[in-house]
Amino acid sequence: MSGALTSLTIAQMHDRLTRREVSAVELLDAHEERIDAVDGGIKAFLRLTPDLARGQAEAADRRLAAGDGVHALTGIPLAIKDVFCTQGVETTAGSRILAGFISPYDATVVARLRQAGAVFVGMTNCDEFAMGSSTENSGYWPTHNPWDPTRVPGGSSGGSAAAVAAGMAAFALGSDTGGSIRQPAALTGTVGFKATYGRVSRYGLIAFASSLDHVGPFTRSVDDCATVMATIAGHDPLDATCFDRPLDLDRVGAGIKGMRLGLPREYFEVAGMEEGVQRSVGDALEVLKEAGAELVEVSLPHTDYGLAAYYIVAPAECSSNLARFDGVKYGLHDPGAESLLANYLNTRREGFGPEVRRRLMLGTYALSSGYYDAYYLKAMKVRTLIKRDFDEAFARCDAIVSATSPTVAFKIGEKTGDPYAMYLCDVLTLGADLAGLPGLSVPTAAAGGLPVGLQVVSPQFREDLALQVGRAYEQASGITAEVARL
Amino acid sequence: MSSVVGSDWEAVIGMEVHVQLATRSKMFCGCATDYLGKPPNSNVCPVCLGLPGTLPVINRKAVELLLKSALALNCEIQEFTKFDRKNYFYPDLPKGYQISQYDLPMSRNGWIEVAGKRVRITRVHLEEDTGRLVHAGDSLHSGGVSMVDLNRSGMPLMEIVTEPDLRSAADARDYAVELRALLRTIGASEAEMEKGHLRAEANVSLRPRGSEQLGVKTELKNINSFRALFRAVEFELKRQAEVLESGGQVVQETRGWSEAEQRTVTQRSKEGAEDYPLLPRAGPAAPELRAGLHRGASRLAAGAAGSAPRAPCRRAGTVRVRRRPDHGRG
Ligand SMILES: [Zn+2]
Repeated sequence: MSGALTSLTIAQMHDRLTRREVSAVELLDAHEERIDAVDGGIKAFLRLTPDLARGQAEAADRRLAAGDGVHALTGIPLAIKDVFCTQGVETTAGSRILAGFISPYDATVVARLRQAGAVFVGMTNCDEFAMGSSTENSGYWPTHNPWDPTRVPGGSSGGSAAAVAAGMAAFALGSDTGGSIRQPAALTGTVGFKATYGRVSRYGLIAFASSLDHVGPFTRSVDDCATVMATIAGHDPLDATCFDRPLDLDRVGAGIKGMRLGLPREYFEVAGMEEGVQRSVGDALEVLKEAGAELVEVSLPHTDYGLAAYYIVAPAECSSNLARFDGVKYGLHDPGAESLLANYLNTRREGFGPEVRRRLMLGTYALSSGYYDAYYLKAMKVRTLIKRDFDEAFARCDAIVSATSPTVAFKIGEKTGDPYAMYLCDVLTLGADLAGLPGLSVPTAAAGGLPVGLQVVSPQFREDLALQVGRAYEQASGITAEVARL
Repeated sequence: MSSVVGSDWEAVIGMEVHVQLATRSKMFCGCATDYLGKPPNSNVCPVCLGLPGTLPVINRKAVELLLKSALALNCEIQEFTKFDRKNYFYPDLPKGYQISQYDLPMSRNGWIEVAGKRVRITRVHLEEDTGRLVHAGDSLHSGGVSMVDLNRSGMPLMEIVTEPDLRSAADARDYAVELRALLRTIGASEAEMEKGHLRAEANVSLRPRGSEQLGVKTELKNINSFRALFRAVEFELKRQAEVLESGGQVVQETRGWSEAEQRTVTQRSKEGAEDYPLLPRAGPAAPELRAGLHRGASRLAAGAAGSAPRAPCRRAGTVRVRRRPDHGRG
């Protein structure tokens, strides 16, 4: 029974809830049982919020009983990446430096999901401040891939991806700065999506790189993804980059007959592309063709420079964004420091892990006087060229398809000694972040028993096109996001 | 009047004035601006506390008041402007950076007439104020502590910078008096020096009469009245003349006016500042502030031009600002 409940999509759960076949409290019970049974081995959650969840589930049941104001997410169990400030809940961005910080306010997306009646199961593990591609950079512990616990779930939103893949939540919130939603979605066989920059409010998302940070969901179907997007998207007066434009998802189920899908040459020739991934994505392209899409070759000629530009811009922005963690106001603090400087140094040395410190140093250097023009400004120019690449490609196609990640989930520890190899995980995803475009990952056929993802990138403001392609693939292939048997 | 007047030395003085704008809410959040007299840290919110995840939203009224002021000061309004981050660590700076404007201030190249002479205005820009440190106990011994009060954090400030066109302590004072009158007339600020609405800093140097080169300057701070401004500049000019006439060299430094001693004194850098050699550096421009300035509905500059009491508008830009949720009260 509980196994069945924790494998359902949001739509299926909603159906059962509204028909009163199951209560929100029972749904929560089933998920808590599942967490008890499997999270000891997966370690997706940094902390559970059982009291909050129970209160929300009971409130959802009252709402459902009254049949008043029931939302598609009322009573649905949600896991929240530890980067979203959640009122009354410890929120640490996966970092020791924020240990003990209980947020006094809700991020806008969290507030919207609270209002919709979602049930907050807990806060999920991630790479510290979302910096990483495997969740191994967490300040607490690594998360394991539900499909093979010796492997990583991807990152940085690995805890959220693993929670959905293991049936510990029906959906989860993630953030995507270089691929941090789409890559773990691919590695865990879940649906992951991030919209156009500015479509979803960043207010309350603990900033990594302000001009690259995107918010989005993990779900087990494209329809569920659209449901969550419809709830969290939309203008927020507290985030001036958040635009006011309706998100029209009416045609997501319309199929892809006659749609032109671009295959960027550079994305298929990328170094380190595994054969299994290539085969799975190749098969997916055949499915899309049979479903009526026309495949055209396009080019994104500045792809090679994307990684370099990204690793200037993101560290530069983070070096400024993370300045506020100084031990003075909240989080870690060295009470024995004999001077102000010692307090700063001790707090930040103790509180930040090695990858965060590496990026703070890279970013500080790139912004320092004399280097600002040579590094940061130049990287921003490359970013403009990458945006132009996408514009030109979209003149020839409606959406761009490729693998999400060049590899399947790798072994825990395999890349921790080689930051550059780790950075290469994002080579196919970070372009859409640099250009601020919608990007989706949907599961394709497994390779050697491990999940593979198909990435769909669509033009600015056209989230519907990416979801339309993903939905059509899901339908035509019969491959849907499954819950890992554990 | 002054030992310097009539001497072989010419005074060269430029002013930097920080003006607290007469808005009802802070620069980037909805907190009230009438924080005086409130208990410490009671006039704050997640944004001006610099809590993780918060974002600034520009106060439209502050931009309007800056534009009015800039036009009254005969400045050019810039067609493109942005905010930058000045990154440095200090306990009264909750985000680890101050939001200010570097290379693209909202306005430049103006002038104001002071006692029949034109004083050129270099730039007028917007920024946010820091919090305050309250020192308790004996700071020289281990018992001393500093407490942080963030009620002032995020207050809207307008900085007005002049060229070094002033030639005497009286000039400096007259400039400040004239500026205060202008800001009050257009309603940009209450401009009470004693209440800290108008904080004047003078950059003072001497050069041999007839020389075109600038001498080494000192920066005078902690000036709380027009009289203090006059006396501080006057004192400093005398002091520098004595240094130079005795064959010495003026040291470039910040000096504070001591009301009690009626003299300028080398200012100990900020409490403990010598402990951390971390120089301010430019952070990346915040995307939310670019967007906030350049998207939105109203053509504020055009509107401001219509309502400015004097000031021919040489070039009304199209600075656009969107309304914040909490700024019904401006
Ligand atoms: Zn505030």
